[in-house]
Amino acid sequence: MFVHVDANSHVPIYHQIIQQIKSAAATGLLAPGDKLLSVRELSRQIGINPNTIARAYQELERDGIIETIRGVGTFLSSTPIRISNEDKKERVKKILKELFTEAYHLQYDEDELYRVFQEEFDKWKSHGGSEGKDVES
Amino acid sequence: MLKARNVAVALEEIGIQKKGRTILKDISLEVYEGEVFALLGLEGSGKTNLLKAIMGLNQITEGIKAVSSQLGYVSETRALYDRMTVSEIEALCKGLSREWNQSLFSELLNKIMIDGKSIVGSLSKSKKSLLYITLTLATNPRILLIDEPMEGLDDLTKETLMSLLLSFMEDGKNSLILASRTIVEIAGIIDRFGVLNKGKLIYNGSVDDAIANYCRVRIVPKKLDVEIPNLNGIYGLERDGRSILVRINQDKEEIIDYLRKIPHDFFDVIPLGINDVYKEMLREEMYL
Amino acid sequence: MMLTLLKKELKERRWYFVIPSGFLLVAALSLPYMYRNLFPILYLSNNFTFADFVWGSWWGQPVWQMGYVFVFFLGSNILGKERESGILEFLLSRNISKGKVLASKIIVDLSIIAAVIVLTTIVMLISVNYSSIEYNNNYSNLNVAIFLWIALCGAYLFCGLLTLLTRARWKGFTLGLLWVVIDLIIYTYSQGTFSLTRYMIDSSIYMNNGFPLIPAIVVVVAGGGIIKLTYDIFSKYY
Repeated sequence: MFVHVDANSHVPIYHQIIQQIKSAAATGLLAPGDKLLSVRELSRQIGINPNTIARAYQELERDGIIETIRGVGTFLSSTPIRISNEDKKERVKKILKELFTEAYHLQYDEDELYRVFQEEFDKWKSHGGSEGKDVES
Repeated sequence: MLKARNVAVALEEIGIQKKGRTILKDISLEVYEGEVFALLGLEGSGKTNLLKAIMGLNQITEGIKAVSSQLGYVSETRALYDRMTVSEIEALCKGLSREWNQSLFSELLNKIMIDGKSIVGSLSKSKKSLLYITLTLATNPRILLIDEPMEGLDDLTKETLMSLLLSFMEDGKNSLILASRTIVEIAGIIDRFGVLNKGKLIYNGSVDDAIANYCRVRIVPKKLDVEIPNLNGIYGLERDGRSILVRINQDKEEIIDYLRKIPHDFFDVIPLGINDVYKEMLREEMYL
Repeated sequence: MMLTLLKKELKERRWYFVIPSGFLLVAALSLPYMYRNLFPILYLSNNFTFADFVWGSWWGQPVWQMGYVFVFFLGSNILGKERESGILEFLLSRNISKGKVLASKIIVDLSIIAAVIVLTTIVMLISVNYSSIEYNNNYSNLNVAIFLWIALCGAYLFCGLLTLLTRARWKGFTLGLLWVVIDLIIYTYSQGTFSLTRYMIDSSIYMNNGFPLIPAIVVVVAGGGIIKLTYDIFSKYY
């Protein structure tokens, strides 16, 4: 697999793993139904404590992003994600808040900010938006 | 998700006095089954003595120690009978152990590429270290104690050792306790850690909690004479011209919000990785 | 487990068996020759028999006196290869108690002392009985051998304890020898009334199968005490 973590980052390792799997799913590196490495296998590959990986997998499973079939393996969910709309809204809001905080620090012009947002939004939509696979980062 | 966890090693107010000197004082901690626990601290902080105390090589003068299953110990010196061959030392360990996993030993010996006929004293430091650990792993310990796992090893050996340790942890029931001066190389495999300073435990918690609690804030306030109050959670303040560096170890969010309200020209929150947090913990001791 | 430990100790200390045996075998085999050719006057006189000669030139010097030196070498090397605490840690980290480690060393060493005495004395007896000289010993060689073994083991334990206490091999050895010297001085000044060595020099005790029971018991009890002390020192400081 493609997971690469920095054990000395300020981002907790389990969080990094979650982010990378989510991002792989969003960019199409991982397709629904694809088999993920088992906790053991991934642990051996990246040299990270299996407990940490298990924790990441547990959270991803709780959010419906991956599912484990006993005796077979762990797969990227092919069923729609079970996150409630409320949760989805909260998450987007949180990221927006972070964006605004950054803009504040950069003292970014507000109108300019709106314009940049529209630009990027249009670009993203044209590539398929929430359904799309090849999103430019 | 609450999981009942079994305790592998429990220490309650452990103290060690030797010739009038206090080596360890009031050490209380628990290590659970299936976890990797690191004992960090500078040289002379008492890590080796604590590890030896858990193993039973040191006499505990105060406190209670409880160990749930068989221990394996890898000493810092990795001293072995240098005149023996690897096969001879294998036979010696086999005869001395209650349990000996021959298949595991042979498999590991192959993996680390050591020949049975080699003389122990002629092995490189890295190979000797791996040999020692292999001899210990073959006794099927449930709790493995290693003093300075990465010291003196070349990079390839560090990787091999990592994979040995991860295999050891795979069944979820084994525990690993590492004593180390640095956290950088083992940050990826530890669950929780304790920091020793001059024989006392100054931190005992998880890696994630440590990263979540510690950070630095650099603020350049508009007014020069602004006083930053001694809030609980701020353990250090440094002024450098107009810039102030605030060191935070608790209540991060509240303190950051408070500081942000001070009129400023510059404000930056610097999150810290585990290695930096560890250094901060040691620095904290200097401020106290 | 104990067996492996004993085997390892024996292997490490095998030269402590070979070298003294070598010396003593030479002495044993040369007894008849020495008696005939180097002390012809004695040979011809009736007052000083071959048995008397053997008493002095076998039990007295080679076994007893050299024996002291030998056991002090052995005792001062009680920790053997584990003199460096690093390797001791290795043994202990195999989940072996300190008691077993110490016991294995003591057992092997006491056995070596016994084996050397037994082997060389048997050879001596063969050499002496097969010589054409009349050998009518009025003392019991067996009793002497047994008491000698007990006394030498006691000296070994004493030296071992001193070595562990002083943490230096040469100190243990020197202190042990010092004790012998003091014992000898006491003996000389008391004109033969106080001394452990007295029982070695005086063959009359062994006449007619006599055995110095009380001194033997004293040494054994003292030896037990020394072993206990040694275990305490070993547990605490090593």
